[in-house]
Amino acid sequence: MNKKAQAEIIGLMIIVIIITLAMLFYLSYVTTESDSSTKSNIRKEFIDNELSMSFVQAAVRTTVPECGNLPLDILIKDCGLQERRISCAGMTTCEAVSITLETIKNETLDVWDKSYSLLVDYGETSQIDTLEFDAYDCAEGTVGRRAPGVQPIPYYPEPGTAFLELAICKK
Amino acid sequence: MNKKAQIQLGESIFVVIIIVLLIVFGLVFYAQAQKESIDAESSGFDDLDTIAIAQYATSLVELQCSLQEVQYPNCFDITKLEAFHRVVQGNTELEKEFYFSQLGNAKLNITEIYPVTIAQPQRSWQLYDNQPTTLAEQAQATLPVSLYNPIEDTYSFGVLTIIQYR
Repeated sequence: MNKKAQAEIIGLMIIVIIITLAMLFYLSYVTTESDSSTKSNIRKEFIDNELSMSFVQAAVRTTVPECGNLPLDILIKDCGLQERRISCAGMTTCEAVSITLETIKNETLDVWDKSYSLLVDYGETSQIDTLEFDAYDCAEGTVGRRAPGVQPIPYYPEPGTAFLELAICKK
Repeated sequence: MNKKAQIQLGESIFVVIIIVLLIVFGLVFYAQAQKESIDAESSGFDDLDTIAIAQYATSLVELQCSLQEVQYPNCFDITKLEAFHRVVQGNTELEKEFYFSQLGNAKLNITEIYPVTIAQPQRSWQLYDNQPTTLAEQAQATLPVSLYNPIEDTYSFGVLTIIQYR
């Protein structure tokens, strides 16, 4: 093999090495990016789950002045069982539950510009329909819901359980 | 030097320049990519820091609701909040002495959301405020909490706002 041919082969090899290195850099960048996006999603999920869990926990404990300062879980129970033992300044407990949650969500989730699904599921043993708030469907630009924060409210000693659920929509 | 040799030398120089340029472009691209990924990572950790501060604040025994030694999660006792607010208000040295190691440069505020009426206007308590002298960025997180009034035995719905300064 003459000198010129050898030099050309070396040149070709250098080009191949450069292309390989560039490909390796690119692949490492792409995998790092997808890894960091997964981590970021996990963090967002954690933050949204904290929010939804705290929301339902705080909501069921909240006492309603119109209903003799009884907590929301007692009102949900009364509504679900249709006991009507509690008077809420001329309202039924179902109306009081709806108005209270509406007020709370208007002042929090709506102000924070969150897309979410908030509902009160009165359970299979109840004849009351599930209460879904107007923003129940996730808004445009979201991709499904995160795992909901769920607060069960047992009808004990009657059978069945009601649930207060909040799921934040993924952005 | 004959003409052929000159041309070959020129070719070699041209090839070397191209290779150096490719390597420089590659390094710049790689450094930029690394910077972006580090920035994204760091911003995610900041979010988690804010949540960690919220969790620390909601588990402070000096503010937490408790009944017969049972402590409730995400719940603040209003009487404890009032007392705490009175003690630390304007006393930044005291705040720093006890809480700086955990809360760092941050501002914590609790606002009552429900029930709020004309007779019972919205209340707010600032728990901690430590702003750095040079303010670069800030991250905000909000966490719903219960506010217990042990005198009336009622629970209000409130929001804990954490602003973290970086």
